[in-house]
Amino acid sequence: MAAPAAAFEVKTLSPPPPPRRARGVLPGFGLTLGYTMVYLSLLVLIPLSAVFIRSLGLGWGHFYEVVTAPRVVASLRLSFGASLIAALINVIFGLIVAWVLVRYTFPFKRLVDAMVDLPFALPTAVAGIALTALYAPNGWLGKWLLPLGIKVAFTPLGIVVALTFIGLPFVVRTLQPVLEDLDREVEQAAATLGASAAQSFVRVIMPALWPALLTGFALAFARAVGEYGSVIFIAGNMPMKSEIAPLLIVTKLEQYDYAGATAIAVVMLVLSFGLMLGINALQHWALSRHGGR
Amino acid sequence: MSIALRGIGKQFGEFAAVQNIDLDVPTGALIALLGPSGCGKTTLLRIIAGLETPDEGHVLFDGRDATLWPIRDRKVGFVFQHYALFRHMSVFENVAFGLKVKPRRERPAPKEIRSKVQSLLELVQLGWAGDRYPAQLSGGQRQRVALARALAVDPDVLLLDEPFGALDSQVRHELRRWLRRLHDELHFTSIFVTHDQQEAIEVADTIVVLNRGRIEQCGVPSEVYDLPTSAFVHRFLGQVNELPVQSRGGRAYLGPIDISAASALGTGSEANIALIRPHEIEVGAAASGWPAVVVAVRVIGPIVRLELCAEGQPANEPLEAEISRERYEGERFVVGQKVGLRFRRWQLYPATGAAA
Repeated sequence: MAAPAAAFEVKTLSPPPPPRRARGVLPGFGLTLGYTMVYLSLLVLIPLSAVFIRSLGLGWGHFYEVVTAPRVVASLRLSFGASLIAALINVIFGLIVAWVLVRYTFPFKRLVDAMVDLPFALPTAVAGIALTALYAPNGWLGKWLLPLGIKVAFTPLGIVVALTFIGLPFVVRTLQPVLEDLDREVEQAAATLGASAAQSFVRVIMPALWPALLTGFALAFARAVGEYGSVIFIAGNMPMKSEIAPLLIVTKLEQYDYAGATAIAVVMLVLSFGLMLGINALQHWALSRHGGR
Repeated sequence: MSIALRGIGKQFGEFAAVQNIDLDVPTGALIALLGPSGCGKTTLLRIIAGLETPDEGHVLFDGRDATLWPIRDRKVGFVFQHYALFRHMSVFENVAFGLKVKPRRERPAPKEIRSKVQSLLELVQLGWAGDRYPAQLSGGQRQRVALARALAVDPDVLLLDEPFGALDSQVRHELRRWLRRLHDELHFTSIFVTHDQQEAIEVADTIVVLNRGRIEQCGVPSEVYDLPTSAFVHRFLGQVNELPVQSRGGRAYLGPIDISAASALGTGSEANIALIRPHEIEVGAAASGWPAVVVAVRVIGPIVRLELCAEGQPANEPLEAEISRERYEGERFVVGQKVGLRFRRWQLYPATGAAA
């Protein structure tokens, strides 16, 4: 017993070895993190701080006055409200589209699948003009809706239509891989345990989809808040009624009111960032419920 | 509940997964569907569960035609090879699932559900794991959760699809014995699919050997092992040595050994093949039997496996013989030693059908 004790003591006399860092298979944490920070700074952080700095030129009182002007408040409410509705519509119908594309085979499926990406690729002005032509009171769809008392073009409803159009691919494309990865056996297990189709969907499939649905919602929502091109054609752009915040920013820029424009931009930025942060937190919570993963 | 299959057939495109299957599973039986991968055993199990619809034939539950019954009305418990647990639910919620989705009228009170789930978890020795999530459990534990989940709805039939296939051999062995005990205690009808002949022999009352979508043989384990009706079954249920039967002057020989007296089959001109299990080869003194040389000796726990190159046989196809450890301790065979071989038992099959 004495000998091992002595050997142990010798060991404690030498200086403790430096702590070993866990090594990944691929090296380069320092380099890639540095790159990430520089890249994000150049592309996101610096331009956006410029917006803040510029708006500071107004001074608090003036800033408050600009962003609480009724026309600005109405436009912000419209922008965020319409985006929210559009994103919610996309979550529901995007889920159905993704489901059909993943679960079933039908003729021209590849073609339909490619069509989902069109809102990504199309210049948004083209989308706006097309939608306006369609929904205008004398358009193909508009003339049938008008007798029913539904006016789409040149109303907030038209804005929602345009924002839904541009947001669709975000939901579909985030859901597709998750749906493909869903284990069919889990649904079959639910069925053998006596669950109805609806119960399987609500209790087994939806919990697995929540994180992806939230991501899709967040992306579609963020895209809709920032959308400009397609909306200005269909919106009619009546102040207080159908004027979105990005348009108001452009209007102020055209009047050389740079500080005013950036003030609205700052409010949009803060609101968007807060919402994104909230959605991320929600997603983190949804994911953490899988236990250990 | 008894299950009967009548003329079941199922195609996947051009591939006939199962063809014309007739099978009777009496109430309370524990049956193994055994076969190589692609033999249709899983398809057959899924047809019974209602997860696949057969193209032809009928599935009878207690004599009633259940072929087109929806899955949820069949009262079958299904255990999947890869567990198929609900990842976002705790172990407790997984097991309770089948009870919670029952229609309101039949659903037990929350307190009852709680105590039932807890007792099921105790049954599978996971009483402590109710709050854990599947991701936090080992493979063997997850499969036990899957079993408890299947048992929660009091199924009349328990179907298990290679339930222990993804587990390591120690855990597998333990779970097999445990499944057998559970079956004896609870008396449900069980059918399990496996490609492991040892598992089938250890656990089942009856083994159904499948090959290319058809039933090759059906019987109690010892019968299927000792009296295989085809070369395929003989090969699939354990190690075999294959030797061609030579006929000279109207007599049949295995090497120099005259087997005419002992075999009904194959004294004619047709080519036959003899299948001999390793423990059916007797290794004796050099002067007796078929001269052979020991080329390898491997001690595997209680048995010793000898590789033997018999005279006149190709050197790259040595015969395998198994002798008991006790005998080996006495005789100490060494590599290069000359010995004589005799065969205690063999079975002859026509060589044409042997190429499976």
